[in-house]
Amino acid sequence: MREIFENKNRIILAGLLIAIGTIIRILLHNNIPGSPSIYITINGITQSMFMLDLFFVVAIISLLSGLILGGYYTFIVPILTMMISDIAIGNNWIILFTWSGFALLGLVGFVLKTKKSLTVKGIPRILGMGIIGILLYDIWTNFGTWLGGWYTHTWEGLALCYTNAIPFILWHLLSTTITMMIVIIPIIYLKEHKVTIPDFQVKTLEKRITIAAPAILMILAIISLIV
Amino acid sequence: MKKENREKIIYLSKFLIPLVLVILLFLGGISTGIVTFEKTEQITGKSNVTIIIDFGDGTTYSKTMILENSTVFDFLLKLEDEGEITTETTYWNSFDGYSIDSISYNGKKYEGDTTHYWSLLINDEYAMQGANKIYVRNNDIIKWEFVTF
Repeated sequence: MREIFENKNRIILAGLLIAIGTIIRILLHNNIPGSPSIYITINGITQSMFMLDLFFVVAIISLLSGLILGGYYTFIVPILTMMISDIAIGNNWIILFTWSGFALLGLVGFVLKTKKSLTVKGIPRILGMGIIGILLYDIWTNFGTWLGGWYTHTWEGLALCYTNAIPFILWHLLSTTITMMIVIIPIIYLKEHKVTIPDFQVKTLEKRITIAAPAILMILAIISLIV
Repeated sequence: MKKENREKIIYLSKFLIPLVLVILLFLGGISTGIVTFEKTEQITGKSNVTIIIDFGDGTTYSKTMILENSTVFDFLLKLEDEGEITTETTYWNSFDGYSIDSISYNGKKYEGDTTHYWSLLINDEYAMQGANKIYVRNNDIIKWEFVTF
């Protein structure tokens, strides 16, 4: 009975995260402000320092799904958020790269959960691992952009791909770090002041599938471009 | 120093050190000119450029033009001003750039869709930036190709 109740809470929380992520993504995707007037010149290319997008919305959903829910929800929540909102707003040809990237972010959240990071002392670890997760996401998805043929398949093409990605990476780091502080610190405060944040237990098999899922998605993403 | 105070300092330094590093990097970027608050216009002088538009069905258009300090996009708009072609474009806020939706020539509209798109080549190499960000140089060859997937 207790298991069912715990699972019910888990399902409700997962549904809430998916709903919030989907609604915000659909409502805001046509209302993104223009880039601020700060420019960066690297490799002779001058571009806006920040290219704004809604990455931080799904990123925080992914991190929370791993950090609080854990298990299968680590990849189910971010993928369903993207899937449902993509039906409304569309996506691009590196769709499997972005989906697997968010599953990877969810896995980062899950690793933090296993290390019991949802404490005041764990805040630097959450922020640090979150930043690493963001960088992994950007390295992975831009690799997909290069592999997919948007740039020439040479070292120069790869360097240009990542140079052009810098404004997006900087925005992802800035926006998601700020969002992490706004969202996760209050959750930790509530937890430390005896408001119950459920600590969902994850069985061994579920743990293994949780780790394997992003890896399988990443392999499928590469296959989708090669075939 | 008490152990408690030492732990507090170590804890706070985990936030402060990365923050200070980021601020120093940003200030360093400004001082070296890597980070600026005004977009630097490229001065290329007068450029004698050939524009070729390949409509993908055997129809091609070609013209040589001279413009000053202009981007590839400026050259396309100049053709439209002269009545040679008609274009439809979309400005993407997030990319600060334009995509070419369609080019009309001789009464026929060549519009991008799920199986067709307009691609840009500069001197036979695919452009890696948006047309409004590439400043052309003297004797460049700009080619717009209507490509079928």
